[in-house]
Amino acid sequence: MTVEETRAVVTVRYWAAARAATGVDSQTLEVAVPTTVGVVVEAAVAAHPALERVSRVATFLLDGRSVGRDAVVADGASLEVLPPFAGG
Amino acid sequence: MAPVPDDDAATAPVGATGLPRARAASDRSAPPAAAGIRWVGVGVTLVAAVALLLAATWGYAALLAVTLVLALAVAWGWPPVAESHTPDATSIVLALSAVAIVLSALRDDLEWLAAAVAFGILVSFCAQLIRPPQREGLVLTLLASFGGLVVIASGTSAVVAASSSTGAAVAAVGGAAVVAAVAADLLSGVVAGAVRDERAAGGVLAAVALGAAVAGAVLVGTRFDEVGAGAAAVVGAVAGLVSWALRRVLVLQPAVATVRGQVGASVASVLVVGAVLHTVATVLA
Repeated sequence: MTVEETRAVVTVRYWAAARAATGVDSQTLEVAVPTTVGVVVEAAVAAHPALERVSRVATFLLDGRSVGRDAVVADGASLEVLPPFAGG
Repeated sequence: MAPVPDDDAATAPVGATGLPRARAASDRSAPPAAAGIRWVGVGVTLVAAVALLLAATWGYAALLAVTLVLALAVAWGWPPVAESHTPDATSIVLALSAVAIVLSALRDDLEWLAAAVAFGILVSFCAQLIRPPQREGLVLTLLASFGGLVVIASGTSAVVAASSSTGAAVAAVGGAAVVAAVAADLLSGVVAGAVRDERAAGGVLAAVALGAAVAGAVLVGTRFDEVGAGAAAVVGAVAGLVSWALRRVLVLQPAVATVRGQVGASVASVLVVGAVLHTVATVLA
C-alpha cells in the first residue's frame, strides 16, 4: 500500500466566526484514511486552537451536504465549517 | 494528520485519480444561509414580537398576559443559554419569579417590581442552599438566574408603561421595531459571504438592523397619534438594535443549538427591550 493510498487530502473552508478563529478562508488537511468529519475537525482545531469553541456549535457541510461528525470523508472532499450566524 | 499550506480555491490539489477534487462547495462566494440560521430562533422572535405588538394595541390585560407567557418561556429557555449548571432548577426559580414579577404590573407603576425582583434573588440563593455542598458552577448559576430576572423585569416594565395610551403606542412601535430588525438575521448569510472580516460583518448587520427597525417603527408609529415620527424612530433604533444585538451575542452559545436555547435567547431578545420602551414612554408622557 503506498503512502498516497493511506492518506486523504481534504479541503476545509471556514465561514464567519470560524474564519475569524482560524484567520484563513480555507486550507487543505492531510489525514489518515479511513477518516470522518470529526477527525478532520480535530485536525483543524489542532492547527487553530481558537476554532475549538466555534466547532462545537458549527454545522458541517461535506461537498455541500449537511453531515454529522461521524460522516466518512473521502480523499479530495470539501468540508465547510459553518457557525450559526443568526437566530439565537 | 497535518495541515498543508493554506490554499485558496484556485490552487486545489489533484486527487490520486488524476481528476480535480470535488470543488463545488468550496467555490461558493457566500455561505449557504439556511444552514447558518437557527430558524426556530428566528420564528420564535417573530411570533413573540408580533404578540407583543398586537397585545399592546388590545389593552393592558392582553399585554400582561402575553408578557407572562413570554416570561415563562424565558424561564424555560434562558438557563442553558446562560450556562447554568442546574438549568432545570434555575428554570423553576425563574418561573416562580416570573409570576411574581409580571403580576407586580397589576399595579400601574413600578412600586412592586423591585420587591418582586428581590423575591427572585432570594429564591435564587435558596435554590443554591439545597444543592450539595460542592455547588459546582455556583457563580455562573446565580448569574444565569439574575440575568433571567433582569430580562423578565425589563419586559414587565413595558407592561407598566402600557397603562397609558402613550405607553401602549410606544410598546406597539417597539414590537414593530423588533420584528423589522429580524431582517438582519435573515441577511446574515449574505453578509457573512460578502464581508470577510467578522467584526465588519457585525457592523454591517447592525446597520441593517438599525435601518429596518427605524423603518418598521416609523411605519407602525404613523397609526398612533401619541407617538410622533421622531419618537418612533428613536424607539425603533434603540429597541431594534438592542434586540438584534442580544441574539447576535448569544448565537454562538452551545445551548443555542437546541430548541430550548433558541426559545430562551429569542424571547429574551424581545422582552429585554421593555426597559427602553418604559423609558421612552415616561419621557413622552
